[in-house]
Amino acid sequence: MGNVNINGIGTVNAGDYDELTINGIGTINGRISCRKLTSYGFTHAEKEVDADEVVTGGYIQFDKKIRSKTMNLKEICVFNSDIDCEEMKVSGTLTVNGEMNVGEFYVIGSYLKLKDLHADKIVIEETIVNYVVKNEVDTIECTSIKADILKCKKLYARDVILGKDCVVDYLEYSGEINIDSRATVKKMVKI
Amino acid sequence: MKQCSTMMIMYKTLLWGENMISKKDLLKKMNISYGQLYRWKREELIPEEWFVKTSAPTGQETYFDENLIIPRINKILGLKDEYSIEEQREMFKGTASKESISVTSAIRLADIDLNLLKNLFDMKRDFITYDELTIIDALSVIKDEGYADGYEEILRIDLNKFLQIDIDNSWLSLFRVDDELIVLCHSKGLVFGKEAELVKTIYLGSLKQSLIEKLS
Repeated sequence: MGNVNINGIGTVNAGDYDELTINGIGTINGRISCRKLTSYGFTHAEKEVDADEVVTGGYIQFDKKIRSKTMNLKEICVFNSDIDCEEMKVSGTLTVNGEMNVGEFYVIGSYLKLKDLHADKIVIEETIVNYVVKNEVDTIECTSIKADILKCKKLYARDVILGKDCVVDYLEYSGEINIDSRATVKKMVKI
Repeated sequence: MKQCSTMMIMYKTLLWGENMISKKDLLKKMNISYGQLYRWKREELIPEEWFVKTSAPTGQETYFDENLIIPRINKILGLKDEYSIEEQREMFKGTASKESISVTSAIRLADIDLNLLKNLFDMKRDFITYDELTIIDALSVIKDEGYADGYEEILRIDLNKFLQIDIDNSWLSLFRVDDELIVLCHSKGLVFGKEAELVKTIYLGSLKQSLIEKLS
């Protein structure tokens, strides 16, 4: 397994790689497996990606499923398919059109637009960036969640802490709950 | 409200059979969290195909076959202290390969006779090979086309013996000899006497190919 470096414009074909680094404009046009994927330019992955570690800045778009142990995502990320990840950290704009299955999901000062989020632990923290936009998620199912500035249609969890500016249409929980007075929960059910 | 829930139960029963359990009920019954369930899915201890999504009046809901998921979760909980994730994954994978498909997908997507499947195939396994599925599908076709008088005979077939031949280049034929139906799996060039009447023959090679195209 070799390393691949793209510093200008380039294409990565299907295969197994050790470290794949894209600093310019890169297209991944085949299914790849690698130890580390780093992207700081404009990257478009057209096929499935398997990586131990993913680090991104700039713009990255995945069209097919991605599996990774850790992901550290900054700036703009678009996933048009499913994500399986053990630990994901986000500080930027994250759009996911597939299903997210994440162990621990940490979000700091981001704008999220997600459909289905399944996780063990979710932490969404506010920064000054979030004064304008909210993190939007259709459905969350998790063991525990601690969130600020979250707009969610359906939230199913064991333990819930909702901070300022959270708006949840339907909340179902089974464990401990703590809802800030500045949060809005339209319907809440304890099971 | 009662009428509505009765309708829902009927709807679910019609769609999935009586053994489907919703994700919410499963978590409650097994006392596990969403995080655990989806971690096991990520770790491939629970196959993705077992998560059956369907639209419901309340939005999208996920269901599981209770007969598969509950024993699996019990196994995972029992094995977790003794075996690593990799070891468990290998145990559960069975014979999974490009030549096989999960049993749940086969049931869901292929139009096969469930009774035949249960009789001829070891339902404890998670995966079924395309060769096995092809033979069961061919036998289902024979049964569906009205040769049900040989059904008892079909149920007694030893699938492993049929698998000894090259399925890609073989036929499955139904003969009638003295009012008795006989099922044969054979390659080309079969010669039989006047007393045997060929009732139906199916080329397994093309059937297998169509199953692969349909299911993969």
